Amino acid sequence: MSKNGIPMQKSLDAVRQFLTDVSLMLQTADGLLMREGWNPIEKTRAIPRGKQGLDQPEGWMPGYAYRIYEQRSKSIRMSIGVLFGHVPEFEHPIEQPFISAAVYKKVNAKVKDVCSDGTMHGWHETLNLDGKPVKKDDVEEKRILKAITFGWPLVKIENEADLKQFVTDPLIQQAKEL
Amino acid sequence: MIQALLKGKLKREQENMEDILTSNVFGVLMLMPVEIGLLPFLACAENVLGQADKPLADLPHETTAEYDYWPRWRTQQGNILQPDLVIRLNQPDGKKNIILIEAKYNSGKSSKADEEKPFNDQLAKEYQALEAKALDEGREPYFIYLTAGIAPPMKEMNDSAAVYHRENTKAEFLPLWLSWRQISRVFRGRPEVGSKELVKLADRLNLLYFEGFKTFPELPTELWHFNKSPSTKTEDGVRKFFNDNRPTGQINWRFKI
Repeated sequence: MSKNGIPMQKSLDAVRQFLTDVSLMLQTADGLLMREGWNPIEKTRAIPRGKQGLDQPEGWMPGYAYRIYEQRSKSIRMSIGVLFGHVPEFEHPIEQPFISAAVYKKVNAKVKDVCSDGTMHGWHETLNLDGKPVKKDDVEEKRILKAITFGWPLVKIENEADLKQFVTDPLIQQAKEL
Repeated sequence: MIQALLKGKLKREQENMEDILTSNVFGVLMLMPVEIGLLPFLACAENVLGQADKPLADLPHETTAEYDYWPRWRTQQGNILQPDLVIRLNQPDGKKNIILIEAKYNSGKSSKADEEKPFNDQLAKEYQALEAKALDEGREPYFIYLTAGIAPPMKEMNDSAAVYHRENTKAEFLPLWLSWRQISRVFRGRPEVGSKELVKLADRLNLLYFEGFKTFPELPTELWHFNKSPSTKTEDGVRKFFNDNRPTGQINWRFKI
């Protein structure tokens, strides 16, 4: 094996471990929110359907993972996304993995959920990843009336307690204010 | 069997069978002293439909346990039920418990209610059968739904509660929920025989909790890449596929046309 082969494999193994950790974190978020009456709208789905073609390697690894939650009101949603790679809809390069959390109100309950709702990545340029909520009206004229979103660097979340304190508890609070 | 799983001797579909997982885990637990094996695990079982308490958290260390795997129970309606595991606990002060464990790994309930069979819900049927058995034996019953999730399967359990209450309007339906993942928390770092095997099993099956993000290794200072496009010929006309300066020699074969 060449001198770079071993660190290359270690890096690839680390990416797999990273995805495992993201999975565990999102499952933990599921648990925290379900206890508060917010249920995932999809049983296990967490990544967008990617392109898999030979000439589309940017789609071989997802650029983000997400979960979307609903309560009794079918028009209000909550989302937690983790962005860590190539996201076609996001204009700016991602400097570090980050969490994008959002509460949003759809035009009506019949509006179909799309995976990009799970990250609200269309307007993350307004965020400083400092946890401060950003409110926005008329997010998408025909789909989403208004939203509150905030972001954190992923490395800020080191355990379940952090996830609760910095992500799920603020989401629940902001859902009351939406 | 647990060694076969840990050494990778089982097929993946065998590893994924909940019966084998049940057999492996409780087979180890029943060989460990009850106060460091079974009781700490049961202590994590949580009442998620009620007041979110853990009613098995303070069982006395002197408690003894009897295991009955896949017993065949005949219900009052004459049907046969086969829960995964029934554990009878005898406490030193004379209190007696009967614990039914319905274990799942990658699957959900084996039967659900529908219009033709409105009481055909696995958890509701077993819960009702457990109550009858507990009454017969003079034991306090606990029903544990053991699953692989980090989060409790609230929808499944609420659906079962609704089915149960259709026939038992005044009784409470309060199953406990326990996750296989508690193995990794309860037994990790413990020195006793059995603990290490259980933790290895949890690691192998990825039955873990979120503990933060692991550190990335340092990347090599010189990132690897193809030296040139594989289709590029060098000056001597020889195609090179590697960047380690090994002589590649003349390629003297070709695909048949």
